[in-house]
Amino acid sequence: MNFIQLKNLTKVFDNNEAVVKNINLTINKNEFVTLLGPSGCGKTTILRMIGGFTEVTSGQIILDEEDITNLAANHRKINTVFQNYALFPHLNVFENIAFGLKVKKLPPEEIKQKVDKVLTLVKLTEYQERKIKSLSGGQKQRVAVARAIINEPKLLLLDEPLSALDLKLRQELQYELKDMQKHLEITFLFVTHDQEEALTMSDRIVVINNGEIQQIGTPESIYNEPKNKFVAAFIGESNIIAGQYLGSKKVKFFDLEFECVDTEFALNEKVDVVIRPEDFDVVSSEKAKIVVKVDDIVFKGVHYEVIAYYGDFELVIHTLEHLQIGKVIGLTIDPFEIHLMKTDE
Amino acid sequence: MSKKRYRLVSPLILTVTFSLLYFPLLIIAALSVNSSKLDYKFTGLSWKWYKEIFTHNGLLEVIKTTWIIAILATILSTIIGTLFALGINSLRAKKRKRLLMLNVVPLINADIVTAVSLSVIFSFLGITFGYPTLLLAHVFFCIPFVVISVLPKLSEIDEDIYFAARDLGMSKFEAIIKVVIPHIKTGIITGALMAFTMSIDDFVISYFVQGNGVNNFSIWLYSAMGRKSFTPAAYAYNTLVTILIFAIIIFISSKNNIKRRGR
Repeated sequence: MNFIQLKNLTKVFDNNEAVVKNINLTINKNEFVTLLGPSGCGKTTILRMIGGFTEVTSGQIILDEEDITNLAANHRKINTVFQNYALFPHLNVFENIAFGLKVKKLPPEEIKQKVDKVLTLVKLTEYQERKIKSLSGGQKQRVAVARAIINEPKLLLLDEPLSALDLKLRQELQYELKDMQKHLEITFLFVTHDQEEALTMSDRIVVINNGEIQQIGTPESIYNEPKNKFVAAFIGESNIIAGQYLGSKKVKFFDLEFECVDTEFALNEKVDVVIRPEDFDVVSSEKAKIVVKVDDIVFKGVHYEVIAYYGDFELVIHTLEHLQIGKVIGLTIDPFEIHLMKTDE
Repeated sequence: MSKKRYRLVSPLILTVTFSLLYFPLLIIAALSVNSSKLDYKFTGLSWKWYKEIFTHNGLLEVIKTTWIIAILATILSTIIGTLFALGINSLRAKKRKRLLMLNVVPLINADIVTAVSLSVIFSFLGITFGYPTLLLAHVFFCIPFVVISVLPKLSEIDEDIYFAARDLGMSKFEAIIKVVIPHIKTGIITGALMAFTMSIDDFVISYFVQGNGVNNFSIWLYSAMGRKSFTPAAYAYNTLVTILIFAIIIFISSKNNIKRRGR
């Protein structure tokens, strides 16, 4: 294990702006890991340092027990799917895919064989003679993936590869990429700002903000147990309420006492309470501690999104039934759905 | 002006303008086939001045010098200018702007200033005047033209194309030669053509850096005009150059037409 290791990886640009700060990360073989964060958080810079396109300021990159920190990009057994595909417009689909093998000077028959195999995998066999210009976004995307995986890299880097596609196609390709990764047994390092994409595809997610890792974990743990305000707000929707831990699995917020399951806090410690909108149960007002009036309701397809104010605090609630605006409702929360976090202050 | 009146006047303006532009070329062409050596007397058709290009002692020599300098200067300035453009393009916005400014200054600077300063520098450095100084000066003033025609092409291409080539196993050098250069080919060709035309008809700068009997056609013509050493073969040479340039323009535009129709 410890197939890929980033040790204290740091990048400082010429203007003394640190975009990546002391990143430590271990990735296992055949794992699908996603770097998730808002634009400008440094996730692409991390990827480019691993690919060898951006110089490392300090720290180490280790791939399969070999220190590749200062190795030239063309000598790394890593391939990349670029954000805007970066396909070669002067070559056709076949030539684009064969590019890496040609550079390696493989015999033409072998190249043909391998390209045919990959073309089948990405379902582009009939398109091999086509010019890049004549392809749709989704097809370009497939060529970009094919061009990278044909070299059988130890690690495949994907820099927001689906961001330019429409929703339907994006979802389709998410499944295809995930399938491909399982099937080919290649380690994937995926970069995206789309939390849903990260939750769908990854074995593990690394949440990044301001060049620092906020949390590393499985999609479930990141969603259900966010470590701080940033993670809670960035992944999914959430209500973050200031509270106080009262000890013995009790927490106080809105001046009310609730049962919870978290225990790792000190007595009377200030905490942030995270409640996901779908974790509220709407009941009649006499059955609940939290009583609010429906301020607004929006139909979202599967559920309704209800906005209600408890005092000045805006609560977002997801519910399956339609509620009249102005109706007084009660809200209950199961103890295991009340998640406590250390406050940032 | 009403549309109607404009329609009447516009062919007239067009005719006058183009006559003014092309009349001198026709005069030179006519003089080149005039059997008399005198400009003001047309005594009959003759091709003898065309033959004399190759037999006249001084003229053939300066034509040779002109072409050798132009070709060498074009090659060198195209290579150096393309490298400059690659370097400038890889810089961040602020530095790129500054270097672009530095590149533009020689373009708009008066030739006479460039000429005098080059001549001062060459004599200060003790470079032999003649071929070396002519070539150096021509390369010097051709480079900015190459840079300004290559740079826009470079900013058009996706920067990641270079990195994709690296990613797929190419060294820095290979990636530039085999992937980046083919993408900026048209800019390089435009730059080379501009450099060539700048070099082949340069007078002011060449005049100040010539020496040891080595000079180009324009300097020779300037000193031979109205003297005994002058020969109408110079007109013949000019006519040939004009025809050559027309041929190149027709070739390029027909090629572009084919490309456009092909799409």
